[in-house]
Amino acid sequence: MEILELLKKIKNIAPDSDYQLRSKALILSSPQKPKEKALIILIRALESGLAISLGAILLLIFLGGFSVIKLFSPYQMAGLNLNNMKVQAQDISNQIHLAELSYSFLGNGSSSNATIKSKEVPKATSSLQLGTSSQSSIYNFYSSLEVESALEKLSK
Amino acid sequence: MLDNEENIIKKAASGNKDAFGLLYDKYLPQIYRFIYIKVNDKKTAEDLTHQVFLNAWQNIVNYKHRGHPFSAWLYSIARNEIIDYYRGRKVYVPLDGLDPNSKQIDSNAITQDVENKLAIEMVINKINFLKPDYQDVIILRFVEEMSIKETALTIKKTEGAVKLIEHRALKQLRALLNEQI
Repeated sequence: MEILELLKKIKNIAPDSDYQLRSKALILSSPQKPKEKALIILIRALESGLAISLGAILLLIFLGGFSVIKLFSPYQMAGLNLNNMKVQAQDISNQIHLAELSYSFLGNGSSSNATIKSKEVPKATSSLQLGTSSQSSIYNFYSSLEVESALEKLSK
Repeated sequence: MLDNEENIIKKAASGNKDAFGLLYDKYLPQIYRFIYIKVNDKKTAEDLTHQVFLNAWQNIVNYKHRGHPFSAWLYSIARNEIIDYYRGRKVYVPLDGLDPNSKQIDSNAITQDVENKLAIEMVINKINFLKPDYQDVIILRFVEEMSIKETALTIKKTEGAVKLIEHRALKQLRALLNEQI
């Protein structure tokens, strides 16, 4: 049999008359819902839109949280700036040198003199270059002693 | 469509039971058939049809006529009821093949010819294998004999889409029936 003929025959399917009467009576005996007010309809229409916009705001807060913190935080994250980091690194090394100097300077009067002397060695040697070799060897011996003692004190 | 249907709907919306009764009598068979073909079970079809008309009665106050036939609104309620029904059931496997004892077709108007009955059972079984959209178009176009335009309004698709679905659905249904034979 042709498929379309079979489909047309399905139209003969119908509900029982008993069921029809019973169901109709039950439905009509139940109360109708009150008519929805315009405000409720509007809120329902905006529900999905509000949910989407709130979701977008939350997503923005999560993703852009760091930049917002950076903008409004009193503690600036200067460390993240490469130029600032370089300047700070240079300052640190300078401070270390200064600290070494001041430590040896304040530690002992003689050693401080020795250190200063050791710093002045190149000038002294230049002035002693014309002197005898024995004088220069003595000077080298003392200067090496002074450096060693200074190192020992530093290590202590 | 009923004569002066818009007025009947307005009366029903204002709580007139007789007016809704007219709508009920007019649209019950086609909604019942629509559900019956989709769920393939008489008792379930009766329960779901009752629920569709109960929802329609309770919510008709909010119904707004927008040029679509009233039946389109009822079909949309029916589709939602069927979706809810299948969601509630964990697994649904349509019966493959014929099992005349497993379900009954209402014998009021159906021919007593056993061969015909079995053939109809087989077609309904096979319709259940189609996608929901395909099922809708097959039922509305060939069982309810709606026009392409009416079908498009009812299932909220364009006429072109309905033609395309119809072509594919018939092809698939034929293939399924040929497999059976």
